[in-house]
Amino acid sequence: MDHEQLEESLSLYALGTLEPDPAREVESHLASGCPPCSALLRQYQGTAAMLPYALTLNTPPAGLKAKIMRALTSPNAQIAAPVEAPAPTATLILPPTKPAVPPKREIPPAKMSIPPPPDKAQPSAAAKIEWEPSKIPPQTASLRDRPAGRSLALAASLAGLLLGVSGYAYYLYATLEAERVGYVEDRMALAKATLKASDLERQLDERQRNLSKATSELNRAVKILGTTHALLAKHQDQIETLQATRLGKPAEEIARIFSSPYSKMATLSGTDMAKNAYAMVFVEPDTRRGFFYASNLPALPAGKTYQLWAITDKPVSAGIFSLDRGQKGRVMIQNVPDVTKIQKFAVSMEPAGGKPQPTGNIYLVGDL
Amino acid sequence: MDAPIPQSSSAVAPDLVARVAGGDQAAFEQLYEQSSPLLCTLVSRIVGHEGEAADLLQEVYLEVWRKASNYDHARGTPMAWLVTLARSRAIDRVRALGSRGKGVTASLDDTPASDLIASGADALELRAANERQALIWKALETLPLVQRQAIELAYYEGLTHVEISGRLNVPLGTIKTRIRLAMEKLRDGLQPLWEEELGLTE
Repeated sequence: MDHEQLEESLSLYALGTLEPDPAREVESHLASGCPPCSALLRQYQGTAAMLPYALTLNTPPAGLKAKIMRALTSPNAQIAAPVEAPAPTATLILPPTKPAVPPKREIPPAKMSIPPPPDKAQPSAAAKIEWEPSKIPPQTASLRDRPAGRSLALAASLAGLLLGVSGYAYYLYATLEAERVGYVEDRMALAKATLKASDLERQLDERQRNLSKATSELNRAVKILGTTHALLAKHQDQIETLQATRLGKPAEEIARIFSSPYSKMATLSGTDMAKNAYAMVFVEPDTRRGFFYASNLPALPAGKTYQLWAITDKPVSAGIFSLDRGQKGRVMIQNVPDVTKIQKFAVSMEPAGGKPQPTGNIYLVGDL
Repeated sequence: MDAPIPQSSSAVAPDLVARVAGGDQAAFEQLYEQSSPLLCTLVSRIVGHEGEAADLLQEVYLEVWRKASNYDHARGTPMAWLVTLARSRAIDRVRALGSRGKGVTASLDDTPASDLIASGADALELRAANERQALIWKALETLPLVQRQAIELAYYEGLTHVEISGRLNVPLGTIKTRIRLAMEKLRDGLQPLWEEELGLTE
């Protein structure tokens, strides 16, 4: 997000409606220190904080405050007491004041006021529940007949009994609370984990989107590259064609071959088959092109052609030709063998279309 | 709801939170008095069930007691902090339970804001518990219905703008714009309130 977008997100952020990612972005922007944005955000937060005032205010439940204050001062003040008080005994033993004071110290004074006169002693409702009844009746029964002097001992033992009951009730309460807290914490952890998982899922989605975007871009690039290649090949073709055209223009090419200081020349003389005939060959070593010109050869019978051979260790065809009206023969030679290896040139008469190897009589021959 | 709303609930002083952070129970009691009507209303609106709301409110206040030292005045007013905390706990609770107190429909018929419309503007003036409420109602009334709906869904249902977009089947950009425009208008309309809240008028 750029700054304008961040600024625009502030109202959404204040309302708590941004997705986690943009929200983090806003937070880090604010943390980096941007007084205008901070000021704006406070205005929006102030506005959002006013929204609930639009609701018809209701009064919190009457007992809630007292309950909260009690929970505040309970030994495990971190935890809210359940809305439904767990058991009457639990309320009985809750230390009335000050957090962080061990409960047991608070208990003795509390129970001291409770024990009834010894001869009217009845196990309390709590005691009936929490203690095994079998232990109690014999004691109370036998005590009823004892002299008054022993009622003190009875009071003491009842006091001990109640202390035990209280302790056990407190233990139950603490266990219940611990479980409740654990449950609430588990639920919160679960909710958090769910949020995190969906966050990760979103990130994965985004990465996959990015990847497929990158892939399609790559494909496009490859396609473009392919097109470029094809164009390049076409251009090369054109260049070659142009070059060929240029080289292929006989007059220019002959002139070039003649004028090249590197060109080599051979003169060919007629054999017995054509005693008056003669010919010349010019070859240009670097382009391996050449020009052949022959005169005074006998006219060709139908279905025959003259074929020029460059002879290295074996004859290699250098082209076929027929005679023009002036009985002249010309060949523009291409792709002669390595000029340094050519020993001679020769001309033979061959069936129309020529042959890979000479088959007919030789009419002209000469060393290079 | 006929109980008089304490005027003091408009603002919680930052130093009160500081005293709570220091373990001052009297300060905490005062903070409770000042903020609980609003938080209770808010939490009930989101959770939708009175017993559940009371239970949650207790958790919220105990968290306030424990975490008052986390409050940072630089990041907003105490009331904004309390409202944010209560709102997010309530939304967490609703989400964790997988249920919503109020109908999840986007219909404004369920929302208090539309109650307002139904009863007519003049009646509202009379019904408003105090000036603050009258001002807020007035500000809400100036919003087009769709903008108010977006605000409701964001604020009370705890939906992100992406979720609202999905819920209403309206393009994301449109939702963002609606919320932004609505918040701008509310900010302007409620300026006296948040200025007081931010302590700018003192």
